[in-house]
Amino acid sequence: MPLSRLGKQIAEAAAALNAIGARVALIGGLALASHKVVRATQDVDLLAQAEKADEIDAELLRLGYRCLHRSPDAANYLRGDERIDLLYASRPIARHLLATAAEVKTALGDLRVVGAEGLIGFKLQGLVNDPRRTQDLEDIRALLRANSVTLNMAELREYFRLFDRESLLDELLGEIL
Amino acid sequence: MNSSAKSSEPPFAAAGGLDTPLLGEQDPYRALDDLMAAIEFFCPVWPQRGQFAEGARILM
Repeated sequence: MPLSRLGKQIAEAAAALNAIGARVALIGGLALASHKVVRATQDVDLLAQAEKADEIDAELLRLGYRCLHRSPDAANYLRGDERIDLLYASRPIARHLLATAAEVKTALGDLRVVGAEGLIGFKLQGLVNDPRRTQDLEDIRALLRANSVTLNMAELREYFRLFDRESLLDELLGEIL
Repeated sequence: MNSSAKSSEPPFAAAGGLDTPLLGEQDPYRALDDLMAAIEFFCPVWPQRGQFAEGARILM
């Protein structure tokens, strides 16, 4: 049974979205916990099936959220001061990461979580879109440090190449090796 | 004060850098829940978060 408001929010949303058959996986700060990095966060970021966007929207509205923004790529929902941000998996990489997200049994219920490499890729995407998001860079550093032995470096490099940031990966790896 | 995504640095309370070592096989989400329960006790009001920007490079 979750103790925190954030924990209760995640447990409720995950159970509700599972119940309607929508495949979602944690990305963002919450997903770090599955990859040996636990840090404070209030952000509930989910990678979600693009095909289920309408059903997810209806379910979140039923739970009392209101939609702040919705596009084919992403959506933001708010209930009081509780946010849920969705990134829709419509491109091949995101669809693959959602399909292969590990299912874990946690104190917050059954959750799916994207792999560390994909999580770093999404963090990089956030950083590229808004370089002021220095927390994303710190999260990438922490994930590289905590998972340096197990990370698939070829997959990781593909994500940095996608955003033309291979030199950043080399710089970060140079810090930890 | 509105500490939205327009600020140059993310607010500490929104995404603090509190890494906590895990003990053995402890459920990391239990550790996160415990951490957040403590933080929520001291910091019940969170800064606002920005929305997704139109025209963002979504390549993943």
